[in-house]
Amino acid sequence: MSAVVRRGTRLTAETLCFTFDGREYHGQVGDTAASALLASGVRTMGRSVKYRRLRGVLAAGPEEPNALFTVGSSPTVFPNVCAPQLELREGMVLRSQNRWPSLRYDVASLLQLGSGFLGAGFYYKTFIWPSWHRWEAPIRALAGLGEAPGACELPTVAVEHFSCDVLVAGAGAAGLAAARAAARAGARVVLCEREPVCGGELEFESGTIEGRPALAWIDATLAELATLSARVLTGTALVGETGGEFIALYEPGGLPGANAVYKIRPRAFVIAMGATERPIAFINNDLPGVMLLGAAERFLSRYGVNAGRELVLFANHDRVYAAATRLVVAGMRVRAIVDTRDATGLGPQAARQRTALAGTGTDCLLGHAVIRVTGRGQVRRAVIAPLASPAAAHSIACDTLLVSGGWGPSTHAGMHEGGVTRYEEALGAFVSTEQPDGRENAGAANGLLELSQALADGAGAGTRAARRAGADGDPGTAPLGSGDGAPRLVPFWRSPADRAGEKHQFIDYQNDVNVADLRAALAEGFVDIEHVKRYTALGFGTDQGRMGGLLGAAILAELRGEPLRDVGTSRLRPPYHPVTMQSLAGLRVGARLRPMRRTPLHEWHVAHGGVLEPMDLWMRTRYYRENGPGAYEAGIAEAQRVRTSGGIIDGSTLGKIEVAGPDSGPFLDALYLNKASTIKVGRSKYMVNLREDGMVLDDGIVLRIAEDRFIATTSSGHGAHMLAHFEHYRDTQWSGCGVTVTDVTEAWAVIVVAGPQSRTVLREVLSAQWRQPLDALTHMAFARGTLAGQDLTVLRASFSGELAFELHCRPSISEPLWESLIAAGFKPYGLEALDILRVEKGYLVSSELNGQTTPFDLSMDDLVKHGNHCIGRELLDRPAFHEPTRPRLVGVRAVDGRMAFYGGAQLTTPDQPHRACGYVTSSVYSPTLSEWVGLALVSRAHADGAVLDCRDPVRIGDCKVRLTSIIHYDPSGERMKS
Amino acid sequence: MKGVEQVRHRGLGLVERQTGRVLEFVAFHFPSEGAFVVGWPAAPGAIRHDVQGLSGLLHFAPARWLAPSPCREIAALVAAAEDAATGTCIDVTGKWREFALIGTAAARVLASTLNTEIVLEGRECAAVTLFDCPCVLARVGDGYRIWVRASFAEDFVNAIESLCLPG
Repeated sequence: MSAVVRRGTRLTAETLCFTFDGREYHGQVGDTAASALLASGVRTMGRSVKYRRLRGVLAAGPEEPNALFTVGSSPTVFPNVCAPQLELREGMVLRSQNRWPSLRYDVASLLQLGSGFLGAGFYYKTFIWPSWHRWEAPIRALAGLGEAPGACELPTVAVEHFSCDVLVAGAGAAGLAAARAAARAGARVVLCEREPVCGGELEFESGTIEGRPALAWIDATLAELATLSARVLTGTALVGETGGEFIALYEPGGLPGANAVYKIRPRAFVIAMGATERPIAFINNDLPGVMLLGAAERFLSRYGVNAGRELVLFANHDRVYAAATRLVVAGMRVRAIVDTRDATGLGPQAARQRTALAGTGTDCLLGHAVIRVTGRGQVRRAVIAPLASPAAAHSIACDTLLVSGGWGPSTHAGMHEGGVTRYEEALGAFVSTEQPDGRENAGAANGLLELSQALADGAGAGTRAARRAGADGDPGTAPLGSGDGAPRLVPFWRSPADRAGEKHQFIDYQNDVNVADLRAALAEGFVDIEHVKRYTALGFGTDQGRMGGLLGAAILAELRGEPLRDVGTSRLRPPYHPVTMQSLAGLRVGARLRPMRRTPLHEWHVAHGGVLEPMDLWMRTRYYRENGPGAYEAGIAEAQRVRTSGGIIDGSTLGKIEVAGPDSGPFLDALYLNKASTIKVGRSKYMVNLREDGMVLDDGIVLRIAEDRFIATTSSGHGAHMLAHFEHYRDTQWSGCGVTVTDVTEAWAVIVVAGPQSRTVLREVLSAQWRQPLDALTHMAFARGTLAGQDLTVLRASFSGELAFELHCRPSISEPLWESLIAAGFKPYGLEALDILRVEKGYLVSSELNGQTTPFDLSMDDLVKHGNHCIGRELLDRPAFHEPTRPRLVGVRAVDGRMAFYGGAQLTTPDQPHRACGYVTSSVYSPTLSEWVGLALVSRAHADGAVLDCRDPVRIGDCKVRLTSIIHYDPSGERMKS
Repeated sequence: MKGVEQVRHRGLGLVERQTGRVLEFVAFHFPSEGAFVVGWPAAPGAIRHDVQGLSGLLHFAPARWLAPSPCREIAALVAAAEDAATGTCIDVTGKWREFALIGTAAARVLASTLNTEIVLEGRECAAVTLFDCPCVLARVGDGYRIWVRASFAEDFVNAIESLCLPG
């Protein structure tokens, strides 16, 4: 336990308890996991993915590559949580990752012994012999970051869409100045900050703004923003943009599995996301105890944690002297400052600080570099050499090495939308030169690292954004500030090293990418930065290339002997911040994964034992429990009942499209293979649509309800598709003509009454006015009228092979009508029975319309012969559609009359047992025929009567089937037309 | 508010309104300015309110108008448009279920699925997808009037309910 109560800007004195790798630790409320562990003396917090090298915390933000923890207990765990971002809670359970059995002793760390052979790309070449699958399991066991959560219930993420005039991402000095200026100008401002508090670098930089300490200015600015109704979202990371909509995640306490997803649509966007400090590559720069200089300052100011006791600072800019001064004041001993620049690079402020530090015993070395650090599992010494003569090295004892190679502006946001960068030599980084309309960078994100410049830049960007959004108020004057001077940086990327040493100069810590890997990639011919990235995995980790992206590009440039500006960086893309699948799903989880469409009779089916299943988005009844223990038994019983007396089925899911207008007939002629314009009013016709390529798209019945009005029915699962098909042609080739297309699917509930007694039952159920029309209805004719004051259409059509009627009624009367049919003695049947009835009769079920069958394949030759030149008709004449290898729809029955066979079974001939000549599309047990019957698509070379092998080795075994007519039951149609 | 209350939660009410006959009018041509009678809501997203101030005729999608429970005046307007051969009128009774979403939390609930501010910017109604359900959305005072495709309506109500769970 920390014996001393630490003081920091984010801490309270209240203590809390947590565990890390099973051991109990104590922290203070406000601590992060990383700060509390550092305060407890824990330096090693993880292992690398590839070589399993011990790693300590390197950064203090989301760019941290090493200290990633698994939080929680199985199955509810959150892997890869960034320890410097994770706010501690009482009782929190943390585990390190990439180790077994423990962090200290990891079996896979033996891989380090073979690290010389495990360079980039080794697995592409090594594990192809004898087969990748031989190696797959152990490699997958070793690979990956952390442990995926098990089956656990996670809270639904809240989602909020909103708009604003100006979105400012980042609440550092520039962001706050931008937000204030925009809000003062009258814009509706949203300020988004990934940290739980605003301020950015101002949290630890010793600056003053508008005459007061920076922290006081932050408080005053936030108070003013509140009065101006600006919305400040702290703990909220901007992760990406799509089509002008910005996605931000609210992750309280830094724990993924966001509590809220914000989808923000601003008129203008200011990117003030700061800059990310980058490391310098030197030998063993991944050893625990190596930390970024800025991270050490953050841990000190926010959490009162000293990064170490004996420090060596290694940098290439002036800021290192200001930072060293603050660290010394805090009580740490700075043994040496290693500055890669010579004396001419020093600014006056830094020179004064350097002199003062030298007076306190700090060894200030110019023109030197840290060549390597040494120590077993922890930094013990830093080996330092003059850059002019690297061999003249000496070492200094230390427990911590703080490194800073400069800063890379966070230009992520907007880059994938067309932003352009240029290389800025003074920064050694790329800055944004062009941004898509309505956005601009500000402050450090714009390469301005000096406080007064950042404030002015932010205020200017905020004002311009407000103007762009239409706000024309007075933005006030830009705040004046003074803080650390300009960094006066001279780019320096890596210390001198021999080839062996390059294998330990790490660039991407998460993926163990080192300088030798880049050299190997170049040797393999991967020259472009995008190719090198993919070959080496540079920038693939959760830090999204923040830590190693620019450093890798710079070293690649050095190895290629070209300037960095010509090499560039890989394309920055969202997400800029790790996003959980849970956040991506948003509200679409569990029952809300997708919408469910219900018919007006849905509740009745549920209440009466209907077993429902999804069909497209619809829920349809498969069978009713009272008819059998399962679908098979119930389906047979229900189908038998339809054949002997009758039954009813809910057909409301049928797609219904009303096509109206003087041109509706010709329009439908163009869409259907057979003519609609010849249908008489009051009659209907079975019709088939073709795709543009001649394949069958859908089938259904078209009713002509008036001279200029039709209702086209579609199959249930194709309703939306068919509507889109109709609308596409209405809006393109038929644009401006007298025809309209309207979806009326829900306007008409459909009850199908089928069976030999259906007319008798309907006469009983419908009012007296319907008796005469019912008796007069011939096959495919319909009558329209009312029932209980509501519209009703009775269509005589059958998909069961029995006398049948479709009652198209308004939904409001569907349930009373259904109930009265039940009361009259007809019981409901489900899809299982319907399939039996259809296959017995040789009607298409669904798998025959698979997008690969032509009307000829489906034995619709007559339709084509008498049809018209509709969409797709021309292509039916393609010779390929008439070759003997094309399939044709046939009936199939087991040769011995008893064997079952299932849809999907492959059909072969004895002389070619391994080459399918067709397959079963649908099969059912026919209670009427007492045997299994089915439909199949079989090569035309096989005539009816042929016997084929039906192969289904996994599900049911093989049997022999005979090809038959597709109509297994009542081939003359007498029952249907009776 | 007449109707069946589906959801009542802090600051939020979802009430289903009983609708009578519902018509959709679809124009043959669009844009079709000048082709309609005076008072016709030709502009996209416009609503011709009936004499009671209710939503009478909504131009909810290009060339497509919705007339829920049309009063005599609106019915006559639609009939006149059809007689003038500018389009066709379809009786879609049963296709839509009408809801009123009211209360201070109404906007926040809809913001869970859609940026209504953008969608309804410069217009009174729009065809939208709310919680994956096809709808027609119109702003009425501080609340909204929503016509949901009938087969999706239960899902829509469930989605609103799920957002009202404690916590």
